[in-house]
This record gives sequence, structure tokens and C-alpha cells, in this order.
Amino acid sequence: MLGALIAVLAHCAPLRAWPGQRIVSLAPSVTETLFAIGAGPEVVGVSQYCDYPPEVVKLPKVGSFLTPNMEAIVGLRPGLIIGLETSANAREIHALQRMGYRILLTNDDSLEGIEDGIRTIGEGTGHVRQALELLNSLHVRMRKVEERLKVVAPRKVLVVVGHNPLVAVGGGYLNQLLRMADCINIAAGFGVEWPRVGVEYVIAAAPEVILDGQMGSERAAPSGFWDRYPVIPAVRNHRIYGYDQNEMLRPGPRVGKTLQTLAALIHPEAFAATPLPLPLASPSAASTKGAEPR
Amino acid sequence: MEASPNLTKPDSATPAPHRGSVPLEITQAYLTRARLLGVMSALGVVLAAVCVLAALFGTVRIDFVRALRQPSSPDHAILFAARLPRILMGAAVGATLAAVGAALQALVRNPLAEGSTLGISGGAAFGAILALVWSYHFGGGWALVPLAGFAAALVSTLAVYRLGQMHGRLEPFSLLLVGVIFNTFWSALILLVNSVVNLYQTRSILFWLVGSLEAPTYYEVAAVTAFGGGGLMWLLWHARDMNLLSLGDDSARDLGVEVDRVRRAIFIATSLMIGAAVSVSGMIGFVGLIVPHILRLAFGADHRLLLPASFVAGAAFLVAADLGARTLIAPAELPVGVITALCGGPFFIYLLRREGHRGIAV
Repeated sequence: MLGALIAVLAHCAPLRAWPGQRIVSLAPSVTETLFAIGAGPEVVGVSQYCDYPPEVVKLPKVGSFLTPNMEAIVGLRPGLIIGLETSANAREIHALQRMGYRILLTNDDSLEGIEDGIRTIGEGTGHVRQALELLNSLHVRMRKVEERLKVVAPRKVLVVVGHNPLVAVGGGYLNQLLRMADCINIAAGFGVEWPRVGVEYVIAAAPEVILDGQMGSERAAPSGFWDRYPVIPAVRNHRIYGYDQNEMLRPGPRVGKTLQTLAALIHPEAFAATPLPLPLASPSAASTKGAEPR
Repeated sequence: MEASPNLTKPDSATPAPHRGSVPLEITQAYLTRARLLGVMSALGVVLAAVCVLAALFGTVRIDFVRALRQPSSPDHAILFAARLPRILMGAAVGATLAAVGAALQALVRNPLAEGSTLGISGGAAFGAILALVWSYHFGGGWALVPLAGFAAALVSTLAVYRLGQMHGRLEPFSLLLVGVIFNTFWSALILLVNSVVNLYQTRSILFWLVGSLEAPTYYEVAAVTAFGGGGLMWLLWHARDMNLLSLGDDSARDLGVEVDRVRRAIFIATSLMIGAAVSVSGMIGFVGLIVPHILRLAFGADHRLLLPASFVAGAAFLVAADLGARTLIAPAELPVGVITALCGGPFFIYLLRREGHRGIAV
């Protein structure tokens, strides 16, 4: 009711140049970037999926990037609205643009998109220096991980998002991170970002490590789901790890940490104080037949 | 559908074998042992052939010699740990859904009745989804989701059964209405849960709404087979009564059918069957609708034949649909519910246009 009233008032008198920057973020990756470049205090509203850094939990929620809540956004009298380039919220974004709000759109599907986003958000909010520093530290961190991985051989990996249906990471920035972490992602050849893979395919492709988000963040917890297929090298060698989906599957400034987590899980020998000998690759004859990873 | 008998030929009020015979120009005698055996063995051959095809083809090609000779080979694992349980699960779920559809259409004398129409599969899906969200946050074994689905199906059944009664009797029409409303209600609850969970769980929730036969355990296969097979026996026990129910309640009562008792028995049996099927495979649509209708057109509406025939043909239909789901866009997979609906929808319209109301009448 109050929101509707405010919406009407706001429409009557468009508040274009609001003193001080009031930023509304429509996506978790945007929120994380804003806080990472020191624009956190200017954020007045975030999407319902935003939960990092912890202080955003207290901020007003304005729906998600799929379904932004117009009334809530307008009610916060934003000076700048930052969202994602998705078709899902095109209607709302158009409406906000017509109402005269300043809007920035970023793309967090790829690493390049994430880096561009950091730069764009830095320029749009006047935190250019911090944005460049953030990008620099991100690059340094990634290079350090890659340095470590020089000694290892590539491993075949499957990153599972959920069991029913069995959906895996097939593209996007996570696939790029996997490639940087010296992995052969067996779900990369499907041509979609989140392919539905069958158990048959997984058995044939014979991944050596499985990261399984369905299991939550318990590391190396035994999973009844995979125990049925002991022929998969990752199952046989107990190399199935759970991960925190909120952390791992989220694009944004934390991708450097994500890369480090991935690399440490998949190539632990590169991160141990004394390098361990590599386990022998499984000599399964059919393992490469069905799999044609990129 | 009180009106449906009037739309058919005047003589169609006699027990059903005559019905549907005219358009297909098959002279159908009353059910004999030879006819029952003939039809059932023909359908059995079809089912066996479909199952063999489904075992031969899949997402990946396997070497069958190695699969059978070397138990430690990936080929063996693909055939016996991935493909076979899936085929068996498809057969068990398809058989159960189709037999349930045939029985429910007789129960409410309405050609549109199937598992989801009575709100039972919606309840099962909701229970399964709640358990899914629960296990994501607090953990739980793999059996939690199907068990919760089954329990929710029974709760939903009890509620629909209670509310569908008018003046102490189970009235087909109010049962159907209450069921449809319940199904909408469950769908709304599912969407409610879907809008408050995190982004990654929405996919699993969609899975329950479309249905899939992915990665079943042999325990689940055994459970669905037990409920499906046991339920079929229970339904067959009442097959004669179902035939008489199609004449209308009063006529059936005059002919000695305890209408209320039979309705209750059918309702309970079908609920247990759907609960078991949906709790492991989600809401796979159209199987319970299309299979009984095709068989009724081909072989007549005598439930002594229609029920077991639906059971076998439903199994073959779903195994075939799942073969499509596994291979059409390989190596990626499609949800099997998409295939059944894509095949079922147009074919059903075709039947309706070709045969008119006579062809679809229960």
C-alpha cells in the first residue's frame, strides 16, 4: 500500500538527481562487486538472492533479477539501478528506463563478462581505482593458482549441480575456471551452459573427480547416489566432493577464490607441502569412447 | 459425463465390447479365454521388443560382449547399473499409470480421468518436493524423497476421498471436481515453494512437475512393481463391477453391484498405485490417458481385458518414450514427460477428431 503510494508519488515527480548515491542491485554478482570496490555503503537495496557479504542480509530486498519488484525499487528512490543483461527482466528494465532512472546492465555469464562488469560498475559508481585494484588482485590470484598447476596433468572432471535431474556445469565462467584449473570438463561438449547429462554418459566418460553440489558442503561425504556406480574412477577412488553451491556457482569478484577451491580439490598434490605422486590414470578401455570433451 | 451414453449408438448401453468395434471394423466377440490370451501375448511381444531395443540403444554405444563377459567393465556398468534399472522403472511406472488411468475412467465415468485428475499425483509431487528442500538443508537418505511423496499421496487421497463424498456416498462428479481442485491447489503450493527456495533447487522442482526416470535404484523399481502389480490384481478382482458401473449407478445397483464399496476399493487401489509411481518418477503425464483410450478403441471396453492390456501397453509406451528421451538429443537428455506429452497430445486430438465422441466414450 505504502509502496504503491510512493510509486505514484515517484512517478509524478521523477527523482533523477538524488543527492548522494543510492544504488539498487538486482543480482548477487552485482552486489558482491559493489561491496568489493567499496561502494557498499551506497547500496540501499539488493535482490532476494543476495547473501554476500553478510551485511547485505539486512538490506531491503527488491525481488530477483528474474522478477524485480518495481514498487520496492522505486520506493527506495534509487539514483542508480544495476542489473543483469537477461531477457527475463526486460519489461521491468524498460519501464524503469522510461521513468527516467539511471540503469547499468552487466553480464556475468563469462569471465570476460565478470571483469567487464567490475570495470563498468567501477566507472558507473565513481570507484574506478578500487575496481582496477580488484581486477589486478583477481589476476594475481589466478596467476598464482595457474603457477601451482604447472606440475600437474589434466584431470577429467564433472561438476554436478543436482541429481534429479543430473545437471552439470557445461559452459560459462565455471567451465572457463575448470579449464584454467587444468581440468577436462566431461560435460563441456554439450553446447549448453547447464546440460542434463545421463548416468550412462558419466560412466562412459569416466571422470576422475566429481564435485557434487547436491551433497552440500560436506567434503568427501559418502553419497548413496554415486555408490551404485563403482566403475566410475571418481567413485572407486573416493574422489567425490561436495561444495557450497552459493559460493561456487556464483559469478562475481570471488571467482579467484572459486578457482583456488576448484584447483585445490581437483589437484591436491599441487597444493600439498610436499608434492604427492600422481595417481595412475585408470586404464578403462571404453572411457574415451562416448566422451568427446572439448 | 452423464451425457456420454446418449451420444453413442443406442445399443452401446450393453456391456462394452461392442463399442469402438465399428470404426476399426473389427468384429469383436465377447471376451473369451483365447481372445484374452491372444491380445495379452501380442502386447507382451511388443513390450519385450521395446525393452530389447531400449537396452540396445542409449546415450552411448556399448560393447555387449564385454558388457556380459567382464563385470568390471564400464560397458557392464552402463548396461546393468544405468540402463536396465531405468528400463525396468519405465516399465513399472508406465504399467501402473496406464492401469490406473483405465480404472479411474471407469470409476468416475469420465474419459479425462487419470492420476493427476484426482489430485493424488499433485500431492505426491508436493511431498517429494518438500522432502527435497528439507534434505538440501538438513540432509537425509535417498529414500526420504520417495517416502515423503508416497505419504503425501496418501494424505491427499484421504482428503479427496472425504471431501468427494456427498450424503455418505462417493459421487463420481464431486470426486472429480474435488480432485481437479486439489491438483490445482498442490500445483500452487509447489510453485510457492519454488519461489522461496534458492535458484539451484528450482531445477529439481521442475523435474517433479515434468517427470523423469533418471537413475532409479532397484529398490525403487521393486517397490513400484509391487504396488503396481498388487494394485492391478485388486482392480482385476473388480473388473466385472467396473463393466457394470459404465451402465450408470442405478443399473449397476440393480444388477447386484455394491456401487459404493466398489468405488471405494478402486479409489484406494489406484491411490496406492499412483502414489508409488509418482513418488519415484514425478508427474509423467498422458500415459494414463492415452494408453487406455487406444486400447479401448482397439479391443473394446471390457475391463477384464482392458486393465491387464493397459498395464502391459503402458509399460511398452513409457519404455519407448524414455528411449526417445535418452537418445533424441544425445549425449544430453530430455525429460520423459516431455516426450509422452508431445506424442500423447496430438495423437489424442487425432483420435478424438477421427472417432468423435463414440471413440473416446468410456
